[in-house]
Amino acid sequence: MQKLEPMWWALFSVGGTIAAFVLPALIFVNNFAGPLGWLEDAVAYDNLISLLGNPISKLVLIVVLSTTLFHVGHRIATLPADFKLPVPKTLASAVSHLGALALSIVAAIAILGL
Amino acid sequence: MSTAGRTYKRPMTRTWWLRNPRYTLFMLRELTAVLILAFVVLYLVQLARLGSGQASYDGFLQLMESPLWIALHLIFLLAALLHSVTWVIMLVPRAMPEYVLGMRVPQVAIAAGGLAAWIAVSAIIVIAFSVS
Repeated sequence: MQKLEPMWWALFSVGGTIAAFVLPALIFVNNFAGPLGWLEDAVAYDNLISLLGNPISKLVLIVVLSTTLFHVGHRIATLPADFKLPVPKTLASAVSHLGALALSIVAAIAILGL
Repeated sequence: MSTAGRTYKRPMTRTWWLRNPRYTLFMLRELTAVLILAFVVLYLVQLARLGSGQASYDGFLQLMESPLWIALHLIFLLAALLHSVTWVIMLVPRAMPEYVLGMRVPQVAIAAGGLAAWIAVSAIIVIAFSVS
């Protein structure tokens, strides 16, 4: 798992940049402006179904979510060491990165099925 | 000659990151990952509900409008903003090469470019959700 460190780091930095650019706006629209009615129907069923019916937006959303997952996975992998918890580094790395991979697959299946 | 037994290991406490505001900011930034993960997981639940029909999705949407959930979303938003600000303004300018094509690129220019890109992407996202 740690032999793959260069690949994890590349995904970490790409995901960090994508997450930095996308997440505040996505959370603002999806979790505030939509539900609270500031942006009429932004998260309404019909609107999201038509938005995500487009293959390009499907692809964009899968890339955004999976790179974000690998980014946070890479940071979470070092958290036990940051807090001096007796978790082996290899185990923390395996759980975090494989967890990111598993959730990325879940995301791809959910989005492609829309 | 072995030096193993003579190497001084500085004792580290679990609260080392409270000693210095810089360390605290570092730890807060690392912890944003946990909150962003929580947001992504809830977003995946929302997408799964979207896939299982309007009645299921509308039930979830009603939950998202409740004050406790909005408070949770506010924590997600603050975590995302802390990540974005530290990433665009503090990390990337320092990690980028100092010279591009032989020209020196000041860190403040990289930060300004990143900020502009962040604003542009944010605008595109808001528009994408409003006009579709």
